Amino acid sequence: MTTIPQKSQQKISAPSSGKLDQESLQHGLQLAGARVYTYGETAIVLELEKSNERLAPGKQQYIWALAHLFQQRWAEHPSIRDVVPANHNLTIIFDPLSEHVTKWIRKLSQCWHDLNQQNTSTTTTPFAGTRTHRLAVAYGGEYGPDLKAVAQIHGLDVEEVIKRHTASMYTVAFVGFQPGFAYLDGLDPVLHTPRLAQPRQRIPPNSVAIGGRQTGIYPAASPGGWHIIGRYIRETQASLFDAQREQPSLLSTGDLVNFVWANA
Amino acid sequence: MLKVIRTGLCSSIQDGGRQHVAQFGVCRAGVLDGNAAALANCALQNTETEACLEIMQGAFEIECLANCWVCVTGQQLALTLSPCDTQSNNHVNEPIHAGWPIPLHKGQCLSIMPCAETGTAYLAVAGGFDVPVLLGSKSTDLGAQFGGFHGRTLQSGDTLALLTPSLQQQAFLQQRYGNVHGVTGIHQTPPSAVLRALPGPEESKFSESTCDMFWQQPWQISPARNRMGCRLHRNTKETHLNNNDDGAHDIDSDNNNAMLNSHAIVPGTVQLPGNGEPIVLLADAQTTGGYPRIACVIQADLWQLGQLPSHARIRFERCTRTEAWQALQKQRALIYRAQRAILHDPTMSTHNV
Repeated sequence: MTTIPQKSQQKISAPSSGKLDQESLQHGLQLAGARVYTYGETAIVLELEKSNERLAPGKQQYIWALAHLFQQRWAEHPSIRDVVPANHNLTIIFDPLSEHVTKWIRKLSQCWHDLNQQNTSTTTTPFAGTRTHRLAVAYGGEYGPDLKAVAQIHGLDVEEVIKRHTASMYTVAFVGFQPGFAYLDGLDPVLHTPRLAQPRQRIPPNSVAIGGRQTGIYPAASPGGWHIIGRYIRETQASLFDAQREQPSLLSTGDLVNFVWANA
Repeated sequence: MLKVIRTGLCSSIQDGGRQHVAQFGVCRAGVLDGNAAALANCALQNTETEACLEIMQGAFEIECLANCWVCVTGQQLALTLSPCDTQSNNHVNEPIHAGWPIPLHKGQCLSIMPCAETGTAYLAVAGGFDVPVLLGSKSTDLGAQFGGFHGRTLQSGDTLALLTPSLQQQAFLQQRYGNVHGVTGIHQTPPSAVLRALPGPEESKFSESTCDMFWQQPWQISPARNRMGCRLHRNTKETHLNNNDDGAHDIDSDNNNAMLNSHAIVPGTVQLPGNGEPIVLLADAQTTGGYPRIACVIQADLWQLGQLPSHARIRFERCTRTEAWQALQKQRALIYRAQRAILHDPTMSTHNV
């Protein structure tokens, strides 16, 4: 459990020794079901235990819930620069001169504790996505140069790959890598495919791809190692990322996503 | 208004960068050398993080289309001021000092000639550049192609609109610098070849010999560098820096098959991929990645990677959180002291920053 000293810091002072000494700051604090550790002098990370196991659908919701707590209240925490959810972990990036790292470790540990308390007393999930997106995709051919290869790897015919890819309801685990790139959980285990041994120099924008146990859409051209199986039909749908939009990324953490085979 | 006559490979508009946008996958962006940019802005009485031109790699020349005040900072810069109309009889190339507010008159050209030791130069204008604020910043996001000047690096022929400085600001500049010439500007500390760093979250996943090698051996800055990151070599062979880190990775350098999940990335992170050549991530680094993080360059030393030339030899020095904190504190104090000096002492030359 938490062993965070309850010392108040009216004035910001250089890190002092205490229970959160250099050693424990480096190696992390063990909480129930998670660990908090420092990352450089400007960030701390909360990592769920056993995050190397296949993503259990419920676990990532704790990360969304924690992120949500901070992201809805930027004004309350002016020294927080960013709150970044990723695979089974959450990073808080802050200005080290404004607040001491122990403040954020305490705060994050408390939030984690409260979240677990709430969740054991109710049956509701900690955080549920509010939006569902149905995204039209053109599969195969020039849009999905790796579709045949993926089908071959799994001993399926191409149509079966598309059917399985469109049958699942995916959740946005987190957005990262490039603006608006959503890592989608919920890929049919039959379609789990290791990344390309040699990443491509350029993947065209709006490519729908499979990488490991996740799927996603590249909003912009970039190098990448995922298998391209189709293309999000941009012409008739909203762009995946638009810096001028109030919600710049079309997909955000916790959203539900479903693909529709548009060139059947 | 300023018109770009010549520009190197990567000149872009950058300010203090973005925040609260990493959850959309948007990188921080912003200046690589926050100190140089802050000094240029402070000299002109702008806010410290006002957008500047960040000038990397190559000669740069700009024509003044309407009178304005500018200030250029950086390392080892040769600046000249000349009439743009080279046919004119009284054609003189007047050398001028960096780190000093310069009144630019219509028809004058300001050029920056780089040398082998030149790092990144910053050109600030009194009042700032008139570009839209997108996602809370004027910075150019070169990867996603938005912000700054049309979301791209500058090209010759581009015309940059400027905001009008306040009357108070104009009066101050005129009174303080209007008639002072030939004075050395703010002195900037040259970059050091030692980058202090904290051990990274995955340091313990590497073998002792890998860690020893990382901390002890000298590294050479590869020319394969950009605003996203800086690759380091043991020797001079060339490789390309590509952003293809879109998922989990094996820590194969140590025959360790542990798979790392994607995690957030902060600028300063040193990744050590399977090929054993570290990459220090900079302002335009992607928001998440999966390569193991062996170390984190402290924020107070990160500016040096914007100033050290390619092929420079560096090494990492392990430090403590307290040292990192003190170094950052010291750096902010120096900028504050420079601001005070600019306000109260017209010569500035005695104040080394």
